[in-house]
Amino acid sequence: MKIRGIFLDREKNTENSLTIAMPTPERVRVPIPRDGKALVKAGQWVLTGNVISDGAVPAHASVSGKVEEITVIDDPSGSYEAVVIKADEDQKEAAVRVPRADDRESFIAAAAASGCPAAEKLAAAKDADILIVNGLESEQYVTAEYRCMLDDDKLIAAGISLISRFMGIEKTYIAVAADCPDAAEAMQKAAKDIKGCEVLSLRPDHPGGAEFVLVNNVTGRKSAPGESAADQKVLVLLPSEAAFLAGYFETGMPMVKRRVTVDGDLVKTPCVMEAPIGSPYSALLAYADANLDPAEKLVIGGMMTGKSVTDPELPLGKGDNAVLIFMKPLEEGKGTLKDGCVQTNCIKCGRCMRACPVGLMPMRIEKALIKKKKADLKRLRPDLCVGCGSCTYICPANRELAEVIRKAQKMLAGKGGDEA
Amino acid sequence: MTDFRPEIAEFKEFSAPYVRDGQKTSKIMTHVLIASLPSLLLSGIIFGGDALMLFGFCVLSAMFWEWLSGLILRRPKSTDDLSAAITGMVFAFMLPASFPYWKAIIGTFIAIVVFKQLFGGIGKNIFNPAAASMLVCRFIFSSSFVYPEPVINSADVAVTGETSLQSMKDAYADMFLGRVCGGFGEVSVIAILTGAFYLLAMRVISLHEPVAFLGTLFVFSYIAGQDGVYQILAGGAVFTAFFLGCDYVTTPTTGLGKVIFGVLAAAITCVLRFFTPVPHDMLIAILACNLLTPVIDRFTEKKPMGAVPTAKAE
Repeated sequence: MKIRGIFLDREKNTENSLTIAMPTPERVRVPIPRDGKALVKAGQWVLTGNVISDGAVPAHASVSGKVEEITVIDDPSGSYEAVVIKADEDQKEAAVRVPRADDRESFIAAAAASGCPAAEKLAAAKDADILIVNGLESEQYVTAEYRCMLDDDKLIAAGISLISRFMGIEKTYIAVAADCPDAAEAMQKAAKDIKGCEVLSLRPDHPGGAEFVLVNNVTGRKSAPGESAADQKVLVLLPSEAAFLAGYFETGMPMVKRRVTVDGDLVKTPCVMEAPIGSPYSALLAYADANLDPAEKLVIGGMMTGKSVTDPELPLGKGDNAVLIFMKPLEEGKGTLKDGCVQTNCIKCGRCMRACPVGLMPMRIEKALIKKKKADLKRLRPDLCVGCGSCTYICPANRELAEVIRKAQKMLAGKGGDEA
Repeated sequence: MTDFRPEIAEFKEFSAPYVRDGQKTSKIMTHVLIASLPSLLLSGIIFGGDALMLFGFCVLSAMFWEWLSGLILRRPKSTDDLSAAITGMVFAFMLPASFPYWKAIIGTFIAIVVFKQLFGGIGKNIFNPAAASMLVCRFIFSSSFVYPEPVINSADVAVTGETSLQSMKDAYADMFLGRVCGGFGEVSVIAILTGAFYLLAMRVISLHEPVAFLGTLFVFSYIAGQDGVYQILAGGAVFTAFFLGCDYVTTPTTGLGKVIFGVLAAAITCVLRFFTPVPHDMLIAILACNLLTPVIDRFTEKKPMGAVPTAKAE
């Protein structure tokens, strides 16, 4: 059984824009992984690509310049340390060593040293036999992976052969949304020379790119509750990660920049840009000619799953694929921004239940939460929610179901509520 | 483009997702109203202007009661979602075309105020308001349930003023087209099927409940030695299957639950109809199953398929 999702309006303003390199911002704040410590001190000079922290997946200086201080950044999801680097005039790259890999272990270690988030997936899926390159971008506005497939097709091909050689994977699927024929064509061309590589055109529904949905729809392997793709011996990587790994094993330059979509109704020139990790969101928005004055909503990531931030000076992380900025919605209709809608009573239409890719029943979770029935919540398993947001999107009564499920998760994890 | 708004940037925190489908309760209800148009049209042809007037009166009075009860109970304005219009519509369709207006307004009062607003408003009612009110009206106004003859009756059928279920001798074609006595909106099977097809095409309802209901009705009648096709065509069974049994609030949500609901409702109908002298069997069956809906819902809960919780990892 294939898992079906919901269809979002295709709203990708930047699908035809070439990737532009963002000019070096004045100052970057490179986030340090939570399990690591900064290896640099204030006043020290660093070059682009220098390691500045330890940890399983270390951070690297994304610009060359002087380390000003090591600060703590307060983020809605928790605070973390960051290295503040003031960029200098002539951006110099560090003399990086081209990594060598002979077998699986050294490959994974080298990938981890590159600072790429893919390293964790590689380490988790050591005995994987299938690689899925996840080119599905179901969310509105986000085009970073799509542009990567069009622009870096050769690198992706090189990355796939590299990964399958070292990880011992024989079968590779490249999943592309059916409404992106150019990307599918580019991937067909790239996959032609790789043995055991197949391009699949999948329904462009949301959340088609979620790991367990992909694993189920592509390989037919069912994930039991709580299992990840790695447990099913499937390695799921993004095209950009495959391309990055290929580039890394060619040049040795670690992860210092990433492709970001900058879009939204306040952005005059929506574009895809390559920005240094740690650049403030405001610098990206300024380069895309965004008007920050009437803005009310700043979303990092897609419109369905992204996080809403209130401070545009926060640094760009390694996983942020889009910076979207909106003002108050002016008109209602399909794809409307949701605030301003009036919540009405649930009419039990069951749309949230049918939209949920995991098969949860959001409206019953909401009822159990209102009645504080913990036993019911235990049975309804809100902890399995993947946070795709489909239930809130689809609800005709405008109920905040995704938010309710997050609250239910908290209640399940903590104490309180009616045990019986 | 947007520079004219002289506001200062003030970012607010929102929770994902940030977009919505334009789907609304009122849109769903509008679909149901559109689906009632074929029946309305045919009732105008079969029973004349009286039926149309009564329909309009019931819908408007239901909306009026909804507005008034919202005012008195201090609930947010709920007439916009059009659910009261649906209740009035369904209620009207089960009435004889000659039903007095003052009794109809009491009927819509019982439906909207007693069986909907006093239970907590839309989404919280246990019984289908129209069906419950209709059952009450059938008992307290039983003298008014005299079904007038269709205006365009076929010449070869003797008109008796009896419904198809009472006379048991109407032709299939007459019942299919609606040239029989009965509630003015529920006699014409073809019109109801047209509306139901629209609802199915618009993904407002699913086929689970109607198929289970009508299928069980047929099989049970056949086993009981009755004419199954006649039982389906007569007495508004198709109307009940599509318009009462597919109500969201008072029927189960899952597909399996809907099937169980349909089977149970049809079984109760048949038992009451064939083995007991209890009148209004179909309404009683629907209301009894409405009462069982929370239980059915509980036992047909979907089991989640399972995935990694990513919300905490980020």
